[in-house]
Formats: sequence, C-alpha cells, structure tokens
Amino acid sequence: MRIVGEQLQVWAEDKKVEHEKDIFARSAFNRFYYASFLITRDMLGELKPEWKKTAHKNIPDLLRTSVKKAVDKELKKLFRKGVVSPGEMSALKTSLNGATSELSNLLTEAYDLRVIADYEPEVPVLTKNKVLLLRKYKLNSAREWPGKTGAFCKTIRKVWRDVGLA
Amino acid sequence: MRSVRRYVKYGGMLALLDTDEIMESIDGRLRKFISDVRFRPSDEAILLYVSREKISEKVQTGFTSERQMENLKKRLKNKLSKNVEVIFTLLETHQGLEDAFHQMINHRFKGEVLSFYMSFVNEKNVNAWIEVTESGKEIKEEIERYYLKMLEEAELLSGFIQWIDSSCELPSLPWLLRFLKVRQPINLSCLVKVVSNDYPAISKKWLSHKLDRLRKKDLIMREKSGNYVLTSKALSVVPAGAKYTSSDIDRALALGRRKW
Repeated sequence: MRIVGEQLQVWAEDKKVEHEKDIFARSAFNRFYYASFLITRDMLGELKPEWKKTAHKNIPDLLRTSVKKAVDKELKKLFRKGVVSPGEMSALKTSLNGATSELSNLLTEAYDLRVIADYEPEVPVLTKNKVLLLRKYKLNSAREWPGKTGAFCKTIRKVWRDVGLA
Repeated sequence: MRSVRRYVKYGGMLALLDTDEIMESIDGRLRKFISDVRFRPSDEAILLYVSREKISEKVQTGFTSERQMENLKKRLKNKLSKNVEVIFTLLETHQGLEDAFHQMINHRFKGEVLSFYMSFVNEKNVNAWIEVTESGKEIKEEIERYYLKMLEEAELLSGFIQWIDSSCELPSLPWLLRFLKVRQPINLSCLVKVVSNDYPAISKKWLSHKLDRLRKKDLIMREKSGNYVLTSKALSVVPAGAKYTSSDIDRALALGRRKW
C-alpha cells in the first residue's frame, strides 16, 4: 500500500496538467492513509482480536481510551504488588501516552484528508513551491504516515508486552 | 471564519449546517483556540482544528490542554448530536524543523538511522522516535547527544526519545512473570534458551539477577531441583482470563506441547 502511494506521488509530481496532478495526488493521500490504517489494525488485532474489527473512525478513540485503560489497570496492580517501581510505571505510561496520542491524532487527520481526497473534489490539490497540498496539508508529510504509524505501533506493542499483557 | 451554509441530503433528511453556528456553540473561553472548523458531510462529523502551539500540559493563560479539548468534544457532541473530532495541527515552521533535523541526522550518521520522527507536544516540547541499524546501536549515545544539541540550538526541549529497535531490548519483570507462568517449572538454563528466542540480547547472568529480584519480592520460588515456579502473589498479578490471548490459555497450550 505504501509503495503504491509513493509511486502515485511521483506520478502526481511529474504531471504537467493540473487536473491530472490533482487526481494522482488524491489517490496517493488515500493509499498513505490505508497503509497506516492497516498497520494499526494489525497491531490492534494482536493486542485484542476483537479490536481488529474496530471501524475506521472509532480507532482514534479506542487508542486514547481502551488501550490506555487496559495498560493502566495492569500497571496499578503491578505497582501495588511491588513488581514495578514508581519510576518504571511513569516511564511506561509516558511511552504509551506519547504513542497512543500521536497515533490517534495522525489517524484522525489522515482519515479526514482521505475523505476529502475521495469525496470532496471541490477541495482542490494545490501546488506551492513544487509541493502538493490538500487543505494546507503536504503530500510529502502524508508520505511519512505509514512509517510514523509503524514506529508508534512498535512502542504500543512494547508497553503492552512490558506490563505482561502479551 | 467562513460562513458557508451547506445543504446535505442524507437518507431523505435535509441537514442544514453552518460553521458559524458550530463556533457559536463553543464556549467563548475556548473559541480562540480553534483555528478552523469544518463539517464533514460524508459522516456528518464536525472537525475542530487546534494548533499544537496552543496546547499545554496544564491549562494556563493563552493555552488550552488536550483534556479540555476532549471535554469540549463531549459537550459539543451532546449539544449538536454530531460526532466531533479534534485535530491537533502542526505549525508549518515545526514541520520544517522536523524535515531539517531528519536531514541533518541522516547526513551526520549516514545510513545508520533508519527512521526518525519528531512530534511537537506543544510549542516547545518535542518527543522523538528513532530507529537505528544493527551497527547504529553502538552509536546510540552519540546520536542522542547530537539530537539534543540540535534541540538546544533551536531552543526546544526534549520530552522523551523512544528507540524503536527491538533486538537489543531486554524483558521487563511483568513479562518474565507471565513467561514463567506459561513455562513453569523451568530451570535457569532452559529459561535462558527459550527467553532468548524473544530477546536475543539476554544473558544467563542478567536473567539470574532478575530471577533473584523476583524471588526477593516473593513472586517466584526456586525449588530444590533448581526449577523456578510462581508464588500465589505472582499469580494474582499476571493478566489472566478466558480470552485466547490470556496467560491461562497460553499455559494450557504449553502444557499440551510439553513432552512428558
């Protein structure tokens, strides 16, 4: 999915006709979003199989609430029984909160741009200093979504494992 | 703020939407933090855009917090009966800094840094996720020093740095307890062998030290045979349940596989 997005971006940048630039760039936004969504969905399925079926727009909330709640519950128990120190508990919480909050925001923003790209042709892709923009958002930045998603998911998986949930 | 009335037809219902009306529904003290508002017709969701430079960990003059925005989201949802999403946006200068830092790190540590991502928690605080190659692990400290120096020169503060490589990681005590629960009774040599499948960097000395720590906390016992087993205290902290990812199910499957 990611490489398809990258190829679409190359084609979009190469096109001379604005309309063609627009449609290739829109498809690239779409592919970069789906690459990120699929990476996240795989991770959620590993954490809890039922989470794999979560609808696109509910994933950010699930990351912000259910994932954090499950880890917090275990951390409290581990802290009470003296298995983790206050410092370890705080470090794990910081790691998780950073990753879930970033991933949640990335997916909300990426989903919104994906919807604009697919369903709102009246919002054009603009070119500014050779950079393609959809509603002020750079296609170059969208290209980073799958990589960032992968990094955040690795952090979430690690914390999940570190509290003994996997 | 643009005032666009949109007529959207959904399921035979005509929905009249106005971004000004949405803004008016937001408490006055929070309105100034919303840089833009948008109604998404495809799922009738309201999108509120908030710049990250306006976010602070705790509410203070001129700043809001993620929690305050979360509460606003809930209030607006109840008031307008629509889904509400808050998007924390990055300043263009911040995006430029991330690109510049990435290029400088790549230039300085050619090929050693596989990925580098920065995230502005707010105007000043930055978190980073860094992934290095196998050989790059030797120079992690150097990379960290270089990155911190760049932040300092840009008058930014470091939140946390998350190394996202996994081969040099070591297991946590809760993970070890869960692992022991599944494999018990097990002696040190066998344990090193099986744990190193998940954590290649592990050594017998390191593991023995951790097992001692768990023993002193009354979480495991060492039997005369040299095997380690969990105490009831440990069993009460290892996540269990009936789901197939539970440690109880893992334990049952491990027993099934064991050659008696």
